[in-house]
Amino acid sequence: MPSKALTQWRDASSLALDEIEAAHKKVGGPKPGRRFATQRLTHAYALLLASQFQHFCRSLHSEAYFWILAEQKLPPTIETTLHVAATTGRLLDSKNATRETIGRDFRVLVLKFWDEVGTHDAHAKTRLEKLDLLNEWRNAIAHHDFTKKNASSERLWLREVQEWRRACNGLAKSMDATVSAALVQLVGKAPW
Amino acid sequence: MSYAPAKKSGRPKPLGRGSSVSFQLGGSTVVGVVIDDRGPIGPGGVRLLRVRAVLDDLIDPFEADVREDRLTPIYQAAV
Repeated sequence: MPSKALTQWRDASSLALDEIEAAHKKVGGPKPGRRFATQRLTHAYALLLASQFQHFCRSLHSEAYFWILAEQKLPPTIETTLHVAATTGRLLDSKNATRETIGRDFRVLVLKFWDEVGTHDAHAKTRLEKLDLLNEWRNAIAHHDFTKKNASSERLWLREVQEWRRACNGLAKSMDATVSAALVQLVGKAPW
Repeated sequence: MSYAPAKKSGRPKPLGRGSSVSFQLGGSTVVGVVIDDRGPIGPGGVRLLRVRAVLDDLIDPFEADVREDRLTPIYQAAV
């Protein structure tokens, strides 16, 4: 069974992303010759993908800590104090979901987070490279700064965003498995 | 046609963004504002809410995820 965070990613987030992709197809049409508006929609799609993936990462982090603490059967005031300690000043609440911010926020649970993810996912390395690209484009679009190495013009293809989305799908699944394995080791039972 | 009177549910109304709340933190009562709904991802499907709380004038406000069932509403905004 997946975490609630992964279920959200596969349901609500996926639906939101599908909606924008459907709008893209409607505006673009099946015939050759692209409409200018599709470029804006491709940009919006990339931004939404980055934000939804950030949302997933934050949710997985919170879900893991709230589960660990619930298992300890602590008095509510102590439990709430520890919830606050675990979720205050988290990088994923103020910065993009990059390999650095994710790795730093999860490192208390899993020391070498991405190494562990790699043991669950043979494609983790290439998927992380795609996440890097997504974040580079996310910043270029959000700040209208197309001077980056991999985002040096406004031209972004739908198929690139679709590829990044597949990479995020793979990472979400392997992050879920990595965190679950870490919690089994820590608490002695499966969290989800 | 007859209508049955609406049954009163024992479940409290969900807290929306902008609700003022208080909660117990480290032995004190802290007041804050709900700034985001993280969804029902807590243990047993409890909703987690992002709350911005002010401790005093000297320390910047902080933000944290708190279980909805640990929050006491002061002013309740609609979801």
